[in-house]
This record gives sequence, structure tokens and C-alpha cells, in this order.
Amino acid sequence: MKETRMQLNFLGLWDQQAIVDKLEAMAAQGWMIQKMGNFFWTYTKIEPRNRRFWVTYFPTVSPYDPGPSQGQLTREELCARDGWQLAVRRDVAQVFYTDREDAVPIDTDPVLQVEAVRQAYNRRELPSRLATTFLSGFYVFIQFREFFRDPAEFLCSNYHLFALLAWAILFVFYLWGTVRDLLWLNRATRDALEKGTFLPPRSYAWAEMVLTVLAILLVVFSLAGLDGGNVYILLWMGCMGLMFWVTASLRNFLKKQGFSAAFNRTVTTVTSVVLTMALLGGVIWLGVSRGISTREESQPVGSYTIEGYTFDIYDDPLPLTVEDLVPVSAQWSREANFRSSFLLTQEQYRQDLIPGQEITNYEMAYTIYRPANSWVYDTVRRGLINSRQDEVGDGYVFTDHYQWVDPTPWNAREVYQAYWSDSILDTYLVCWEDKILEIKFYWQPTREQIAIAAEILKEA
Amino acid sequence: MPRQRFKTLTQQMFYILLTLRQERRGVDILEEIRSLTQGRVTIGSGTLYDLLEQFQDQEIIRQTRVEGRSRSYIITPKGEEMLEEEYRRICDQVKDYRRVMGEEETP
Repeated sequence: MKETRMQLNFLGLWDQQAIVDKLEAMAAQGWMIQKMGNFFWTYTKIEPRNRRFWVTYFPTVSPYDPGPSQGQLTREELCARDGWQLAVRRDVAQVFYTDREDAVPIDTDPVLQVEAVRQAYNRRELPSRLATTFLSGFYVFIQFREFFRDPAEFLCSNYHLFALLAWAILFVFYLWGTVRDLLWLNRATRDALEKGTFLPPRSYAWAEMVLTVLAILLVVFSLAGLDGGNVYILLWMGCMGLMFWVTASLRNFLKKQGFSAAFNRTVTTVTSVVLTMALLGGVIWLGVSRGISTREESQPVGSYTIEGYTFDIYDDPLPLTVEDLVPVSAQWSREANFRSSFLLTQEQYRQDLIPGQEITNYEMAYTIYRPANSWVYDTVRRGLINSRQDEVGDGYVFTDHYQWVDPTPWNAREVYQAYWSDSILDTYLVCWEDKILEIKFYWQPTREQIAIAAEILKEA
Repeated sequence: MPRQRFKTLTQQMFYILLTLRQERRGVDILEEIRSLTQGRVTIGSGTLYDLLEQFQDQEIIRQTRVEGRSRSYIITPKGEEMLEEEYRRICDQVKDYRRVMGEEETP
């Protein structure tokens, strides 16, 4: 027969009534709380009994204190003399129990009770909640800025999409949680003053657990979208784990050695900041040195050097080649790169002449966008059109925009051609029913060549 | 907190100060109040500790002795004054009540 039992638990420090209900139910089943960790609670076997529990808060407790303060011990002693034994301490919370049915509750003044919760909450919870709300809000802003800057690039990146979702969930979760807690504290204060009753907070432990797990999964998915994503996931999880382990171990070690709370807090904070910078710096350095990419990169088959610079040569299959349009023969580098998300696929192709050929100009670069739905289609179309904007200065307008042209040669719904400076470029934005093409010819294609390109790429 | 602490005393505060006209330990205060009010007024041990701390901060009571974790307290002149004021307030309420009820009883 097992004498101890561990259970995963997501009840927050402030879920007073939910903690009491949980512990009373466990005692009735023959399990007495022994230790309350952040996620795991440990119980020891007892005779099943109707045991009453009480959760109370001692606001001046710090997790860096080398031990319980005199005041805390005095309060616990007083409670013990009145029939309430200390079961466990968890941060600012103290959990008491009694087997006496007639024991007077530990807190009999709701105003004082709410005041203790408010002080403890303001000291221990509110600063980190506000910081997380601000940080996640900032990241949501950054992701939205990326989206509006280049919707097509954003929408074909699972990394960006999942990161936006993860940060948005965290932002809403923390903002909602903070507002909910503060509203509850105000309501509880009013009830205590006007009705003389204590309003227990409602527990949202399950909702919070589901949202937290969802946000973590989205972060993992977003990292998985990177080139070498598995390495980043492992590194990220390893760094987070190491951070928590080192700071918690250091804090506990200094506590055991009897160092003051102020010294412990300073050393632990400095260590965690240095460690964060070192570990995150390492991960970023690794990313930069490896080249972070969300693209499915093609592999070069050779290289050539011009004026000291080396260029790769590729030989990837392309849906449309220069040879399909022009009867010329030369050596080209043919490169294909792909990016894909659950909303948009982006296929980038380019065919570049390798220097030293007899012919020039017969090169092209094109990108095919395959949107998953009409909203993505419209967003990408609008984003690509807006990517070229006239520059208006003091008394002059520098032309750089897409202009509508006859779509018939392309057999498309809409076609736009790029105007740049005082010239018309051979760059087209072609909107078919299910895909969008942005193509740049380095020569001026004939109407027949455009018809061939349209026929091939429309079916590609 | 919005409630102006100690401007008017709650029932629990009143009885704590009343019992502290004589030096007492925390646990003795609890027992004395139960006995004095025949169980009509009960104070939780946590609430008692918090109130004793606040009373001390406001110099309404003072600590007289510390034996281990057991501490003894006694009311200060400021506390006596507050107790007296509260007593007068309650007496005024009783007088008001009697006057109103007496008038109501008169046909």
C-alpha cells in the first residue's frame, strides 16, 4: 500500500475555497496534504476523516526568507492553541487543519481577511502579472507590425502565425486574469464592508491550465516552423529548465544557509539576469551563425566567384523556364525555395545566367502564392499591391506602384504591372482564381511569350 | 482600505480591548471573550493576531512580555480612550433605541 501520493495540481495561490474543497475531499478519501509544490502536491496516507481546512495569508512572507518569521510562528502558535494545526506553507499562504467540528474559523473579520489577500496579492502576484501582460502585449504588437509590413511573408510562416497566437493567448489570459482578480478584490472589499461577509474568489484553474498548455504548444509549433526547429525546441526547453532549476536551487541553498532575504533576492536576481542573457545570447548567436530561416532551402550544386564574391549555383526543377519562352541555350542557375503555413504557400523561383555566357538579360524571377481561403487571397493581393508605393517628397513624386493592365494576355482575373521612376517594368502581378503570381522578366516579353508563361503557370 | 480603521470599533475589536484592561496572552484573550460573552462573540485566532498587530502599530495596546512565542499585551491610555468613546457611542445608541421604542409603546 502506497504511503504517499503525488498529484498534478493547477490551483492558484489565491484559489482559497477551491484549495479547501480539494484538501477536504482528499482527507475524506484518506489522503492528507504534505507538500504543495507549484504543480505537484504530495499527500500522505491517513485514516479517511472529515477534516476541516483553512487557507490564510501572511502578506510579509517572502520566498527568499531563510525561514518563517517570528510573527508567522506566533500566528501559527496562536492558531494551534485554538485548535488549528499548520498543515503546510506555500509562499504567502498557510494551510491549517482541524478535526474539531466546533473550531472557530481562523479569520472572523472579512475586512481583515480581504486586506491580507490584497496585500499578499499586490506584493507577490501583481508585479509579475503586469510585467507578463506588458511583455506579451508588446510581442503581439511586434507580430501585428510584421503582418501589416508584409502580409504575404507573415502568412506563409507557421513561426509567425503560431507565435502571434501564443502571445495573443498569453496577453488575453494575463490581462483577463489581472482584471478579474482586481475586480474580485474590489467586490470582496465592498462585500466585507457592507455585508460583513467574505466573498471567496472563483477558481479558473482548468481554464488557466488549458490556456497555458495551448500557449506552450503554440510556441513549440512556432519554433518547429524554423529551419532546424527541433534543435531550437530542445535548446529553448533546456534553457528554460536550466534557468528554473538554477535559480530555484540557488534560492533554496541560500535560504538553508541562513542568508537574509535581501541578500538572497539580490544574488538570485542577478544570477537569473546574467544566466538569461548568457543563455538567450547563446541561442540567438547559434541562430544567427546557423542562419535562422523558415524557408525550405534548396541545396547548391556548385559555385562561381566574381570580384572576390562567391555565388551558389542551383539546379532545381522550375515550373517555367526561360527556355520555355525563348529558343536560347545557355547555362543558368535554377533555384526554387518554398515556404508554407496552414494559410499560405509561397513558392519562389529564379533563373539566373551564370556569368560568361554569350547572351544576356534572359533571366527571370517569380513567386507563386497559393492561399488557403479567400480572406488570405485578398490580404496577400492587397499586401503585394501596396508593397509598391509612390514616394512623395518636397514638390516631387517618385513613381513606384502597380497599375492595373489588361488581364486578357494572362487569362487572369486581374493583372497589374509595375511602374518605377519614369519607366514601365516587366514585372507583373497576376491574380488567377486560386493563386497569385508575381513575376519579373529581365527582358521585355512578347505577347506570345506572356501567353505561354500564363498557360504554364496557371496550371502549375 | 476604505474602512477607516478604529474610528468605530467592531464588536471583535471592542471585546479585545475590553479584555486587555488586564494584561493577557493572545490565547487567554480568546478564552476570556468566549467566557465573557458566553460564546456569543467568537474571534478567530488569525483575526486576533492581525488585530493585535494593528493595535500595537497604532499604540492602542502595548506588548508587555514575550515568553517563547507567547506574547502578553495590555491596553494603553489611547486604547482606554477609544474603548470609552465606543462605550459612550453604544450607550447613546441604547438611549436612542429606548426613546424611540418608548415613544412607540405610548399610544
